[in-house]
Amino acid sequence: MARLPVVPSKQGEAALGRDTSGTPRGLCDTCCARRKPAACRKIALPAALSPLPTAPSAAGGCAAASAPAQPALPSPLPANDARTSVIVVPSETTVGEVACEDSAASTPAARLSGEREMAAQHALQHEHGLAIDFRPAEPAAASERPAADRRFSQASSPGRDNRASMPTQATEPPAITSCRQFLDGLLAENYDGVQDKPVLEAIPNAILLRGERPEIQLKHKIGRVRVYARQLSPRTNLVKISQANKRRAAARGLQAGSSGHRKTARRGRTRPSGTPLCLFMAEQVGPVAARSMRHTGFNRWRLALGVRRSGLASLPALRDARRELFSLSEKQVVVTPSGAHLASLAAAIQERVSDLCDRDLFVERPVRDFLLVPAEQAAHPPVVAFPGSLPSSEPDVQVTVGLDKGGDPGTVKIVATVINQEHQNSPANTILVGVCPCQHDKYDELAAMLETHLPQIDSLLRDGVWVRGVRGLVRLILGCDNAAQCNVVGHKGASATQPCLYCLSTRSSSEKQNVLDVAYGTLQDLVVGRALREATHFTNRMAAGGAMLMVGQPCTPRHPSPVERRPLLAVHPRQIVPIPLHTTQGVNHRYFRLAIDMVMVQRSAIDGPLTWRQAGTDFAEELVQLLHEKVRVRPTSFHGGLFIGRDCHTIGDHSDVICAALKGKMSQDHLDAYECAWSIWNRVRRTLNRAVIIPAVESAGFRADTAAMVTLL
Amino acid sequence: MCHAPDFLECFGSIGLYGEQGLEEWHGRYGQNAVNYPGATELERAAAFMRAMALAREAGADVLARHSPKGRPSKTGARKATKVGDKRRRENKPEQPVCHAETLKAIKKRKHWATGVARESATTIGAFMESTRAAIV
Repeated sequence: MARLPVVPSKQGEAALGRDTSGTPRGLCDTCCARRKPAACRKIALPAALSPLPTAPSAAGGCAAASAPAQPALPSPLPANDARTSVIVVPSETTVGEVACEDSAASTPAARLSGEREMAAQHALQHEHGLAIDFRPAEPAAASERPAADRRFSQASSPGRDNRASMPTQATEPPAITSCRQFLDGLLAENYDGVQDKPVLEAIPNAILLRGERPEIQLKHKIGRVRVYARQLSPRTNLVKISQANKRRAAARGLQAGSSGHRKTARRGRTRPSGTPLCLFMAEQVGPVAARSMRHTGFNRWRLALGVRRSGLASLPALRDARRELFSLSEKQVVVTPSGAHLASLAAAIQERVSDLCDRDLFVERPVRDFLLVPAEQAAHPPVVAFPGSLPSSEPDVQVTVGLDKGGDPGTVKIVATVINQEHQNSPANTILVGVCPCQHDKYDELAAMLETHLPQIDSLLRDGVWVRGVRGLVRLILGCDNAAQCNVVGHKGASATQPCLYCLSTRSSSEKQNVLDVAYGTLQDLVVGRALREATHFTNRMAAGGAMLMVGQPCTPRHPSPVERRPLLAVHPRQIVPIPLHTTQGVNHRYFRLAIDMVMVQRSAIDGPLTWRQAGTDFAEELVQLLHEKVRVRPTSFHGGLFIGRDCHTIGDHSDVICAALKGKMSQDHLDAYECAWSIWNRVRRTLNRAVIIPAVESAGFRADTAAMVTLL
Repeated sequence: MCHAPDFLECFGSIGLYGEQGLEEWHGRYGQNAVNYPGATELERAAAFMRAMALAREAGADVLARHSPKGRPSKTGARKATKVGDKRRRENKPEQPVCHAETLKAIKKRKHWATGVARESATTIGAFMESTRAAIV
């Protein structure tokens, strides 16, 4: 009420004056405007047809003045109270309270005005020969009232504060109209005012929603009766996604509007903060360098994002930071005739390990002892392990060093990886140690390339790195392709008599190598235990100088050792990685060749020796066409035109397509063995290439599968 | 392959120590070396090395630190499971086949088939020769 605007002009202010508080007495403009046409209509309407009594109400001021003229329906109560909004009782209290708020302050004046109005109405009706019934119609109407009306009537009982409804000398209790009268007045369109509309809408609600009636009958003017039956439909808790999203959005809107919560983006994602990113200077230099962004481009970004608000550094500050970073030893690059190299590999690895420790991302990688130990080493175990190979009881930092030639033009990349982290094969987590343009990656070229880094690796193995304030030793692991591994350790390669880097077994039995075959066995032997190389095998060769050809273990001049050159790195033979990626590519290719071999053998047995070559070529073309259409893989231009990468795994997953194509083209025994080989390889492949710690059970299965696969091949 | 189980039991994994991270640098160098001009390949390699030394300061972890976090989507939520899904190959409109690309693919396949068949022919020829010699 205090917030309502003050009505400036009042009718009759001059005659009535002001009250003690200074408020002008009289009628407001609105009530006066309503009163005039109502009075005219009342005069025109005969009293017998009037649906409501013309008795004035006691309190209500100007509303009371308008009540006799217009059939006074109560204004609707606030919409949030649905129960009270359907009460349709013309009562003096509700009319007086709601009809005119402004008149509440001048009740005596209103009462006076009402009495004047009542006298005027009385005189007017006497002129028309009509009588006014001042008796209250309460007892008669009580039986017709709904429960809400009775409740309202109880609320107006003498026990309460009903001063407004108490009859005064000039006013009488209003006559409650009967339902019939009200209906007649409604049909006569007496309630067509704007103020009546909400009440008229509330009346059917009060009738229809009252009680638990199973059906409602509605009679039309033409006499037709329509029955509406109540039908309960349960609300479903499960709604469609779109509906749920709409409801959720509406609820969020209401919540945001009511409680002022921060808006969230779709699907509960928090929007990016509008505050500038707090990037360190080095973190700004890094992306600029990684994307080879020019300074002008960086400055455009800075201007576009708001100079200070972007949080990006100015160009002079960026240049200074870059210069400062280049002054660090782990960032310096030296250029030699062999290529571009990091000046200090040890510092770079120390920086990476420190960074991991600072961000608590350093992962311990425990190592188990080697199960298979050479016989001579088991009899006389070394007291002190040589650098780069630690006993499993000591915590270590595992560093993989690898180098490989690739690209066009060909360059050898030297990469170091700290294994003690997650996603260690990600390019962001590896350290590019050197890029060396070259034509070949033979021993001499690799020796020149590693010349810069070998002293660094030595110091790394000797001094270790700092891990959380404690000096940790480094376990060096060699990871390259087989050719590079052989070159690094001075091995002759896959064509050597003893081609394996792990053991001393010969490639195949031969009369010339009979002594070696007897002593160490061959790689073709499946049941003989391997004669492993000593842990210091390559280290000893390294210490010897490598100027002369090393003599094989049987110490006969006829059997030169396959380690014919001085090893570039002192690596434990069991710390040479079995190259899973190249193994996968090679085994896939080997299986394709097996299929073609068997087709050739079958055709040579059937058609004779002249046609098997062409038959093999035809089947090879058919096979690659099948892989293209059904498996959707294709050979690449790299790695000798093989299937590489993910295609190898896709081929393994669709090996049944290859086996189906071979039906009828080879003997059933060969086909069964071929299918079995694929199934074993598919299990081995998954364990071999997964960059996670393999459970012990799966590890045992891997050992059994690899043995079975080699046997089957 | 014979010694892979030993390595696995010792280190717990083989894929962790694989050469994938090394091979990846070939592609990265091939794609980005053109952005570092130089008169010789060695100069380009040196510029690339300097940039990568600085790039270690801001790896993927830095970007992940500042990127908005979101809930991972439900497994298989984005898969085209319905028959009429337009992402499926059979529901996509058929595009004309590039003639040059087809010829290139055919050439590659033929090259692969010829190479593999030649290797097999060598192996089988040697095997037949040895078998025939043994019989004679």
